[in-house]
Amino acid sequence: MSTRSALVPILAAALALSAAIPAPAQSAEAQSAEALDVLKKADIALVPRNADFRWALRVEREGEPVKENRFLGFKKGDLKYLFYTYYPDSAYGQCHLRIDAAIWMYLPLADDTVKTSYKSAFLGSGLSYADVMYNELARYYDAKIIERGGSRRDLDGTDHSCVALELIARKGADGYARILSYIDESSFLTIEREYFTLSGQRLKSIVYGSFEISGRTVTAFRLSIANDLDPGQKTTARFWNLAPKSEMPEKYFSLNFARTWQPKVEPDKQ
Amino acid sequence: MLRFSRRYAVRNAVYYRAKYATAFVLIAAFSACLGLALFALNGFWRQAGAYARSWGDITFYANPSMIDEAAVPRAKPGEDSPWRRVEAGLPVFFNDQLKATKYYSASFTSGDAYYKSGTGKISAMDVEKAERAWGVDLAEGAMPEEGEVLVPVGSRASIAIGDALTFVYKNRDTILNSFRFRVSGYYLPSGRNSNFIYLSPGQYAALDEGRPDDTYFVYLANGGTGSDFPSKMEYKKVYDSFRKFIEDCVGNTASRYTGYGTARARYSDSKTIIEFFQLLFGIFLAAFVIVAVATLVNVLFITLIDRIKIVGTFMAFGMRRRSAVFLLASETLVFSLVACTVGVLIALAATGPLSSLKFTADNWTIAVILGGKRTLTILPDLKAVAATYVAGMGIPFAVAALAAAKMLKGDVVRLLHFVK
Repeated sequence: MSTRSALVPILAAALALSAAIPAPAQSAEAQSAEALDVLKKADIALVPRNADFRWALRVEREGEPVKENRFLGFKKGDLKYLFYTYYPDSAYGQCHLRIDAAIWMYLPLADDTVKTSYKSAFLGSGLSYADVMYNELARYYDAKIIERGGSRRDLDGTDHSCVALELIARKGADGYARILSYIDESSFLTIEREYFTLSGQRLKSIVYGSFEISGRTVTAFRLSIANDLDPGQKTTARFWNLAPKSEMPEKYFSLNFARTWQPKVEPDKQ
Repeated sequence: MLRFSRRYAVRNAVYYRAKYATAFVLIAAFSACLGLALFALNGFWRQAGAYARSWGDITFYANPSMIDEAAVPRAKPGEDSPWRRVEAGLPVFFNDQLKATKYYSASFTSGDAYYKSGTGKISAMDVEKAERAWGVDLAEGAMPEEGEVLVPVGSRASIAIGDALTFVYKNRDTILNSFRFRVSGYYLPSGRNSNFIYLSPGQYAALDEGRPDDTYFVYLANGGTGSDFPSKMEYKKVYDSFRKFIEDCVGNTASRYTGYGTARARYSDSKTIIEFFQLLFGIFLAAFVIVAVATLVNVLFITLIDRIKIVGTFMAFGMRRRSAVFLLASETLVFSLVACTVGVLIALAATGPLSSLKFTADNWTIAVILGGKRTLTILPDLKAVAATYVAGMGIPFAVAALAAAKMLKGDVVRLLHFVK
């Protein structure tokens, strides 16, 4: 009886030990999976997987006139994007297309297409093509939770309780080496992102805000970009009329369509 | 008649030299200017050909980043790898099989340069390799040390020496990386290499550690001269041998990621600039020749009127009109021969000093015309000298013959009371 009673704590200890040894690995994997899950939710919280929308890009620099471009936006997954410029008139019909890994610009006056790189500045702004055409970050980055419950202020000054994710680019991913993304814990809205290169230099930070939500969908939001390499420049963008689409026609995402399409663009109400 | 003209042409030319003095100076000046212009044009054609060859007669591009790393592993500095074997074997390969006279290997990383007042697309390159490949001519400042960068002189308006410049680029894994440098000086861009920032070798190696050379400039023994280039088939033959060599060293997969560019194609790229320059040059040359010939005709006419008074006396004693015309034309020919020789000698003497004049212009198209050193390429050659003599002697001879024939035929002679 005494031998049996003596064995119980040993067995219990052995069981506890066997359970404890793989525990850190499982927890790291679980944490990574959780981080990726948060990232996936955040990826589609702002701009749905398939969507059409309007968006405007405003670039301000001291001593220079303010530049604003407005686009009709179409997105199918994260591999197909079309931005059709409808403002200003001088750039009417100019298209920016992502078709899989290639990014194209169509210039209607020259009737010519130019291939460009994901890291090129989008229309000389603080945003790059990667910022506007690589929205589903879970495709390109491995994620890790580095902080929970931290407070971050959005563009309107509202505090959000955020989960901070560290995103590390996968090899061949076409992107920043490291991104710190602060995501609202309850709504999964991205509140802020900081972008770093491989050498650790911070390139820019983007703060989001002015979210307009209808039901469970974000219909409008704004973002402001602070470019560390070009501090004299201020870039802001706003997205509105965001509408998820269950089916996005394939026709939008071809160079021939961009060449020939002449949409009737209703004037902006806002 | 010919014997008569020959006999008296030289004697008269010496005897009446004072009457021909103005024409002599004019013909000499015309020949000097024309000679220099033709030498410069000759130099320009050579320079345009040299510009096309600034990246070698044939340039091979290999793209190691496209190659499966499991099959062809990347090497750390000092380690062996198939690509290192390519680098080591290429000079031998070219010299043995393709009779290349020179071989350069280079590697550069394309990215964006961010500086105080702007941004620009640019490639980074090891300054020592650039010096070996096409030469680096310093306009101001110093060569780059660690943490420094040499920028094209065209960016002088937006970056000062000592300013910071951030170079953002994607590495071989297509991940963004960046480095911050201090501008150490400016270089004079030459043609193909105007969009580079030059870094010290150590600094360049730090951009992408273990990056093998992926661009090979090869100068072929039969690369042609001026604007003569090998045929497309000849280039293709060289490329096929190169691919075979890569295949032997690194394997079939790697050899698929190679391409090539040729001096012929680069010459075609800059043909618009070359043709535009030729057109401008042609217009200026035509305008100069028209003005010069008009002045020459005027001066020769006045000289001939003086001479015709004397020749008219000979005609009164039985000299035929044809002989008189030929005599006057021959005299002019003798004078123009001497004047042309003086003019050509002046042009040859001016070649040296004019070639050393330096134009520190920023624009790279100037580099296409002037070359990397930004100096006039004035190259005398036999054809240009012959053309100068033909124009410098032919025009006065023809003018003298026509003018004399016309004057001795009609009203002028009557006006001058040679014939009653």
